[in-house]
Amino acid sequence: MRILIAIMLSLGCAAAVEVGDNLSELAVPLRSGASTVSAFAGKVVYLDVWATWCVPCRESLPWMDGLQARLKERGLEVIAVSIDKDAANLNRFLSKHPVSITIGHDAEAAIAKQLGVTTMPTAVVIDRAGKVHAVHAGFERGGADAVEAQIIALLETP
Amino acid sequence: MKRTMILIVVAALGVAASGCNLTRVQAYEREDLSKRSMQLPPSALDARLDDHTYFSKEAARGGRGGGGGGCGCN
Repeated sequence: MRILIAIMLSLGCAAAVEVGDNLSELAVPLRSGASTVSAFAGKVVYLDVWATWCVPCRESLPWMDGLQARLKERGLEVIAVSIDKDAANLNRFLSKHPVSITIGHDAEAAIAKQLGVTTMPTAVVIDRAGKVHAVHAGFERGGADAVEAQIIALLETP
Repeated sequence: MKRTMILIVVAALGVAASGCNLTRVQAYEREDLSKRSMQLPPSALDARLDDHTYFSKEAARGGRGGGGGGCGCN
C-alpha cells in the first residue's frame, strides 16, 4: 500500500504553494541574472507569474507598476516573472508598455511548476522573512484594492 | 506469476489514478493555445463574411445560431 501511495504521489499533481511555506531559496530568474527570494530579505515581495499572452496578466501589469511606485519606499519589491517561451515577445511588449517593476523571464516556466500555478496570473505575497503570506490566483481590477490593503498591513507588521 | 500480475495491476492503477495529470494542459502551458490561429474561427471578420455569404445564398438567416426570419434579404 505504501508503494502504491508513493507511486500515486510521484505521478500526481505538484503541490501548490501554501501560506506559511518558506520560499527563501526559491530561484527567481530575473532578466538581470539568476537570483533567489532571499536576495530580497527584509522586504515584502510581491512575486507574480505572468505572460504576455495572458490578458488578465497584461491588465495587472499597470496596477503592479503603480503598487511598486506607491509602496517601494515602505519596503515592497514587486517582481513579475514572465513565462513567455520567446524572450522577443516579452521585450516587444515591454518596449510598448514600459514598467518600473523588476522583471524576470523563465522560458521553461520552472517557477510556475514549482509554485504549482493553476491560474494565470498567480501572485505570491512573501513576508520579510521569506514566508508566504498570501497567494492570489488570477487578477481582477475590482479586487486589487483589497490586495493592496493586505500588502500595506503586511508592510506595517514589525 | 501471481506477484507479477499484482504488480502490473498496481502500476496500472497508479497510472490511471494520475491520468488527469498526464493529459491536462496547465495554465502556464497555454501560450500556443492562446494564439489567434488556434481560435475557432481564427479570424472573426472572415467568419462574419462567410456567414453573410452563407445565409444570403441559402436564405437561412440565423442558420448558425443567430436570430432572424430566414428571408435572406439582409
